[in-house]
Amino acid sequence: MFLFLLIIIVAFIGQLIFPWWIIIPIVMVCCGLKANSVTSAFLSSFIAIFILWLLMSVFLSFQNDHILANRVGEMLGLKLYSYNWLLVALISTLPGAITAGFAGASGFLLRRVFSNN
Amino acid sequence: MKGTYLIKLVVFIAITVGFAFIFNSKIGDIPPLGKFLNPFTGFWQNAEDVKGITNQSLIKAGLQDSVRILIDEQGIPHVFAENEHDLYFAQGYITAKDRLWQMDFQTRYAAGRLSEVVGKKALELDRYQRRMGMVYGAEAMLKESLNDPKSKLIIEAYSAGINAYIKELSPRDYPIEFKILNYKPEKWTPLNSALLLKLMSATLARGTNELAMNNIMAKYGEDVTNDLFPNYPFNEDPIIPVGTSWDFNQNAPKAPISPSPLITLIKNNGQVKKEWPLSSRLLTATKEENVGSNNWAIAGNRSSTGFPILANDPHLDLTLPSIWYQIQLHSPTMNVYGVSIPGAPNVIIGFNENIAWGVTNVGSDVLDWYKIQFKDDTHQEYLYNDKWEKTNQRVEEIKIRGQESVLDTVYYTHQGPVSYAENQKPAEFSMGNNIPIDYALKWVAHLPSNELRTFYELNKAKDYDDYRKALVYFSAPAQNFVFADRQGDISITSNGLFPLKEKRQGKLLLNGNDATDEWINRIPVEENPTIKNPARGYVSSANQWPVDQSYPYYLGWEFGSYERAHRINTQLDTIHAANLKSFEALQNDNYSILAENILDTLVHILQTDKGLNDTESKALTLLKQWDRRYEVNSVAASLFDTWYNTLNRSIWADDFASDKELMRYPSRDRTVHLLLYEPASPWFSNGSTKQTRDEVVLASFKDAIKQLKESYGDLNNWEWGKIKKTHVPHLAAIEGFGSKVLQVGGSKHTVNAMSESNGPSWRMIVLLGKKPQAFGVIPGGQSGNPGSRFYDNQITTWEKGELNELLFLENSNLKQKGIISQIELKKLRN
Repeated sequence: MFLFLLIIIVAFIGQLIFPWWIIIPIVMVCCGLKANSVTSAFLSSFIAIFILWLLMSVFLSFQNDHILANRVGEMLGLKLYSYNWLLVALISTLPGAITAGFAGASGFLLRRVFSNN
Repeated sequence: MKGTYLIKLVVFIAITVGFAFIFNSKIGDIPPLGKFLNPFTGFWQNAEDVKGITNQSLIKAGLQDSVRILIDEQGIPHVFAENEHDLYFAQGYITAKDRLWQMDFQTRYAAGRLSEVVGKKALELDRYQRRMGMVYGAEAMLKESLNDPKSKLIIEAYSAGINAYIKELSPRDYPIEFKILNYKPEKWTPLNSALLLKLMSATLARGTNELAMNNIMAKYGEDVTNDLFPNYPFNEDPIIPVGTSWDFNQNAPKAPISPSPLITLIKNNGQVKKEWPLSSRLLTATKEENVGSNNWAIAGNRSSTGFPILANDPHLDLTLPSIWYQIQLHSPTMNVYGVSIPGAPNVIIGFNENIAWGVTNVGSDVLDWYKIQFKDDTHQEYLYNDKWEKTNQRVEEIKIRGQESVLDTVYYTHQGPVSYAENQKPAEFSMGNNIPIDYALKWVAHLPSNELRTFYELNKAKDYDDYRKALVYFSAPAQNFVFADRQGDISITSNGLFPLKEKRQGKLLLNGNDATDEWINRIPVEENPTIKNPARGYVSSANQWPVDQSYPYYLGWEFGSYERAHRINTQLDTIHAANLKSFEALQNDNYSILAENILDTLVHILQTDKGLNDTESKALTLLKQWDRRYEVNSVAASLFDTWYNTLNRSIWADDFASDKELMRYPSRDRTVHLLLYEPASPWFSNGSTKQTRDEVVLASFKDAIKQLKESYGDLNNWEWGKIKKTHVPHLAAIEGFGSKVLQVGGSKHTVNAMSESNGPSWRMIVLLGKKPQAFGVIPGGQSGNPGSRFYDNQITTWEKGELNELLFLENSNLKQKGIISQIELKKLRN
């Protein structure tokens, strides 16, 4: 839980300044320091970015009355129309969450390879 | 143990890097997903807060004083500056803030630079734009504008303002289309503004029929060509009323072309030559019969206010972001409101405290093709007056995304660019179909010009004299400038640079070797067709002929058909106390003059047939009862429209359409005449099958019913709105970014000229007076951002045919009715 929250906070701050791929070094370092296993590193990173991106998108979409997300949904070929926004928000998390999951696992493995225990 | 971890590590890192790379790259048409979808810098950042009202105060280097921009409830900016430099700087700044991607994309389109962004699929389009001399023309215009200190100040300040906005941006702020197409805004240059004005010429005055006409002349000869493509229509209601006398200076220049007794008709292969007597020298203009716009103004003694009222609705291919950008510009020298072209300074159509003006297109013949005989395949020399002259070469470098640049050499004669020399024309490129091979293009939009100055002068004009002075600077695309002022004057002028031509010169292809085929002079600008305060108490235009046949100069042989103009004039003839409502109703008028002219005859023919089936009889009854209005729920409108189009095709397709060579149909005016008065014409026959008019009319009616049935099912589903499917697509046709299907009536030839997606791009009505009262609407909104509440907020009002009252401010006080926020731009203190 600590790891999960840590990732959310650091990734949030990091992405205010840097491009989206800044989450890769962030989760690697966080998992390198705090993860206990490949699985927990992967899941913490995946879920943390999933939640962070989802909350952020949904927040932005609500204050926009979902105007843009529904249009982007149509662009992507979705047919839910007035609920496109929710599906778009869920889809939007995937590139970040997937990349973060593997990066987190890599961070944990890095520690395993280079630590003395 | 460590070994397995190491292997795992390598695998996981490889996967991570792989995903990072894939999600950061554009693959085919798919945007880079990580970049695009992440909520911190991706498209979610373009989802504007719908309640967001933020006042901003920014310091901008380059300003001479402070500028205040008030934003109203429609998102329309009202710019208050202390001097003209700052005024145009702020216009550039605020336009870019709302429309940056549209400006960038349209500039690239005009300049033949789309391949840089979308890759190789735009290569032929890019080549075409360059080969038509778009950049060449824009450069000539820019050079001329920079020679005029006033235009120079305006265009440079405007560019600086755009760049001041671009400088503010970080990737998260880029308009969404930049993120979808994965590229960056680039620095704006004054040439871009010139390109956008050239784009207007390309849209309105680049049509060309000469090749088709040449082919028709070669196939059918002079008599048929003269008969089916006459040089003046049967039905006309010209802009300058019939019978107006031309009070011209007798010293005016005459057409410079020496009367050679024979002219040369050039065959496509350049080999076969055929001589025609001078009288048959049919020559250019092509025009989409239905491209058009309306404008009119009524005198104070016929309006309910006692002051003139002016209306304008320019018809264009509608897109989102909206074609026009509404703005008010206020400085110590002017206070003007209207619509501007995003990317070009000034107001193009609008009003100030004293005057109002509007434009419609003049379809005059301002484009000609000259056959060029090159000495050899190197294209270094060409024959002119039987002497070898050197060509100029312009090497166009077309950059292509992800690939090597293409170098394309265009040869220029003194006439202009040879758009496609032998072996240069692509086989599969429809825009190039009407371009003859080995011909030089002479086009008025290539000539040096300073249109910016016209709009600047109009923006601050006070009366009729100022209006006339402003028009002198305008070359292309020629427009009918309608005018009214609060002193009570109304006027209309068909204005632009009209080449002084021999009658019908350029209806066909011309001979580039023959100096007598050249344009040498222009019609004196003060003798362009114009009228002030005519006896009938109004002025109007709808792309029809500007003049009757008594006008001493040649303007072209074919203009927009007269139906809209005639309807407008008959309505204006009967209006007594014109007011906002009556003008609004006229802008939305769906009455069909075409139906008025031919429906009774067609229906009469149908009634002679006793073998109509059930649906056909029902359809006939509907047509008989039809009020001839293209209303959105009218089934009869769909019947008539489909029937007329089918009929038109069945008359002409067998003779004037061919896979082998380009041809065209005779005009609607000619077709109507044929239907009404020439029932025995051989043109009704199909090849060797002899057919009468009545047979063709009947067969096309049955065919039309069949088509409607196949496409839309039962007759109850044939409502005009459902068949026409009016909508406003996105500029780059991005799915989801256009409008839904709109419930709008009208047709190409009704005053409310709304077809599938071509129609009124701006409707404006101005009631002049002590203080002007104005109304307007665009089919879209102010913002170019699909994630803004102002992207399409006016579209419902437009769809209903209503107008918004335009907020014409007198001062920059933030706390006044209708203003929601302000942006303050402050100068940099030293």
